[in-house]
Amino acid sequence: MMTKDRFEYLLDAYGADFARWPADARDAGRAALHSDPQLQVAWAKAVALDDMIRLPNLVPSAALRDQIIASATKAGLRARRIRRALLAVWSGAGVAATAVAGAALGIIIAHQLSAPMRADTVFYQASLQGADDTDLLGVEMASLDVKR
Amino acid sequence: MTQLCLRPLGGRDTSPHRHETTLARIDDPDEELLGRVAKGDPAAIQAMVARKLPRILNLAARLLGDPIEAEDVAQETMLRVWKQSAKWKPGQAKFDTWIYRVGLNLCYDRLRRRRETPVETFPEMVDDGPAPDRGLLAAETGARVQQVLMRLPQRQREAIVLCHYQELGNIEAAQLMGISVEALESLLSRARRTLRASLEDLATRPRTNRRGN
Repeated sequence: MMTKDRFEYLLDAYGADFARWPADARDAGRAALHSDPQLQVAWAKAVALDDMIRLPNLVPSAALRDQIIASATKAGLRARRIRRALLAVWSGAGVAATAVAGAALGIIIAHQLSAPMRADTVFYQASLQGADDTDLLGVEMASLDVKR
Repeated sequence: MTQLCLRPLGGRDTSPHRHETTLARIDDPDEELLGRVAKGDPAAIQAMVARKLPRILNLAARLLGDPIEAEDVAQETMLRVWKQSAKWKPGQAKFDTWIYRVGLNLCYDRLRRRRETPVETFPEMVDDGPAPDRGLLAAETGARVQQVLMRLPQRQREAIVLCHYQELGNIEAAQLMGISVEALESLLSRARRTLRASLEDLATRPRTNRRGN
């Protein structure tokens, strides 16, 4: 059983919510609380303090979220035009194959494309060495092996 | 049948590290999502923002006491998340810990700059009028708490923000702060004592928004 001193020490540091207590002390803390009325007095004061020090949770604005998503392109997660690669996928391939290709390339291909997603753009991780667009496009074309 | 063989682009370096058997491989709930972010998956990018942005924004807001600066820190942190996504070597540390480390360092930089630059007043998170989406008392209380937080010594504020407000585990918080758990607990106790002393008057203030009181 946890000692009174230990309980009050942890209460002073972490407050009344056992979820914030050290993982290995939670059960012992709860047990001590239930067994000792003196500890319940101290615990009630900690509850009151927890309540007093509440802060609201900031919710990110849509503008901030959009800016950050857009910054993914700055960091090299860039949209690329891959019309040629898409043509290779589309031509002679069935709908199922196209869907597989689409999923593999990260393109959402549906009967109705959603407005923000255009069929000829896809996000790529740019090469860490900073290869230019044509190099990467060349690599991509070489690795697409579509049996017609 | 159609076959697709996509060569991974700028893939993460996995080979030397997968063979490290001396370290226990940690369980990282962000690893899968991070992998998809690195591949440029737009849905994963959005999901990563949803998962991490609120936590980093609140961390910075509580440490800096300034919602505008907090947004700057959050943007810079997430930019570094994007840049790191391809370089991340999984299995040795939690990505969330890394994000917190980045956010904290950016906050330290700003706090250091404040100390070095004489400023008359810092912007406070206080509204002159009632907040549109909360009760007046709650907004007042939150602003008052944040003011008192800003008057705590930086290390005490950091400790209580990480443990109490961000609800990180004590071991993780101590690790982030580079101190022992005992040292963390000492900071926490002192922070709570100061908060209690400074805010006690709020408890005795008559509550005009309650019926009959």
